[in-house]
Amino acid sequence: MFGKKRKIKKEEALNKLKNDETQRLQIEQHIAEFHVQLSSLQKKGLHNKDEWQSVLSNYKVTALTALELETIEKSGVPLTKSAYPVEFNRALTSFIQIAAQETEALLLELKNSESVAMLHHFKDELSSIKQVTLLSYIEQAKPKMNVSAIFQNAAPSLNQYSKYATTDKVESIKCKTCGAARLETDQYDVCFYCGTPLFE
Amino acid sequence: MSKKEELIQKWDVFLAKIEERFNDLLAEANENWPLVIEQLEYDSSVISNAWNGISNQVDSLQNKIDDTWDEKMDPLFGMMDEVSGAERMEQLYKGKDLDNKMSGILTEQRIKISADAGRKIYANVIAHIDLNKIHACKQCSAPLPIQIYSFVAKNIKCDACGTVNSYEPDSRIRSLEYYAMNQLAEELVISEIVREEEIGYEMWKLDARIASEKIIVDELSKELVIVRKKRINTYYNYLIENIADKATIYENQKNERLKWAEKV
Repeated sequence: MFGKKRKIKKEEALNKLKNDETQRLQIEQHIAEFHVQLSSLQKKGLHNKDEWQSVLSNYKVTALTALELETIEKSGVPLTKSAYPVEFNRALTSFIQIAAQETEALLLELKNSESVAMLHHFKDELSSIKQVTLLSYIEQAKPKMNVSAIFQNAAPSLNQYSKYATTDKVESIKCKTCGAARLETDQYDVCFYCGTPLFE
Repeated sequence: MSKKEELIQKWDVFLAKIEERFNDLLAEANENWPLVIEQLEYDSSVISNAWNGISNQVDSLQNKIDDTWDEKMDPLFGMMDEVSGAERMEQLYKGKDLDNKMSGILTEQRIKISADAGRKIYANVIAHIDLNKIHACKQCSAPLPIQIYSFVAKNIKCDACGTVNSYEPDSRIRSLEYYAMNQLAEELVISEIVREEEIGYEMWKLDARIASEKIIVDELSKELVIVRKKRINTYYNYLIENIADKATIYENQKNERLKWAEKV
């Protein structure tokens, strides 16, 4: 009798362990897949214009309008051959939202407290992952600055100060009341002749 | 080839590529500097701005050396049992040596370009200003004993009527101090500036806790004081001589800097 109960308990414990392990693997796979997709999103944004269009439609993101593109081009920000960061940000936001929803759904399925904690941690990290990914994207998308571009950028500052050069001049301080001249270099108080303050 | 040799070769190839990129960058920039300097009038702001761009490019090459070592090479060397601590340091120093070499060349280049710009600006100012111009007293119109080549405003008493006239020099002459004189003074001490950087780097590599290395550190410290003093004296003496109006200010600055030079 006792032997049977013990056997059942052992089987239950074994099953629990198996379940825990399955859940852990399921979460690890969920996180690994997320990172693979994130990396693919970045690569498509940076290097593949054709695939980027399908990314936009997959994530139901509106591409930049002609007016938006024109505004960016006129603003003087460095132009890039990759998808514009603002557009990448839209797709990234949608991607992160989907990942958050999927994680939420997975959380409802799981019961093991350790696995749940791991998944909660991942969910909390999503916003900082988004921030770091966007920054890294911006850095990679920036057009490489070459020497001629450096000189072109500096060109508007050529002789800027020279335009405001002023020639030399001589001035003298005279008394406002009597017109007498200032006669000593250390005379900062009053007119020697009539006593009117010289510098008021 | 062993895995260790393969890794060392990989690191060497990477560093060679960085150096090649650095040399290309400076060579390309060197084609542009004379064209820009030729267009200068009385200020060199454009030179500073373009220089910042070039310097940022070099910074990113230097950061790439550090990042590649920290993130890739060092962990890989660390994982190899056959790589001793000393060998690992040797590889690290290869990167640091290149970084230091690039900094030295960059410093030298910056000083030379700034001095070339300074000479051009000085020539323009002298060509466009009448150094024999005579200013008359505002009260009696008698000619005033004014030195046109002046860097500071002055009060001048008229010899004829005693009126105090205030003279404001041409702004182009005044600004020579910032756009030409400092640069020309710095050009005179290029070798000292570069040597000071080198000594700093050599000292960084040594460990003063080890007796044999402490001897070298002490010798380098003595040399550093000598080089610094030579730089300070030469630099400020040039300014004292060429900006006579501000000789006292520069004399004071020189003395303060000389006191600082003793502290290593």
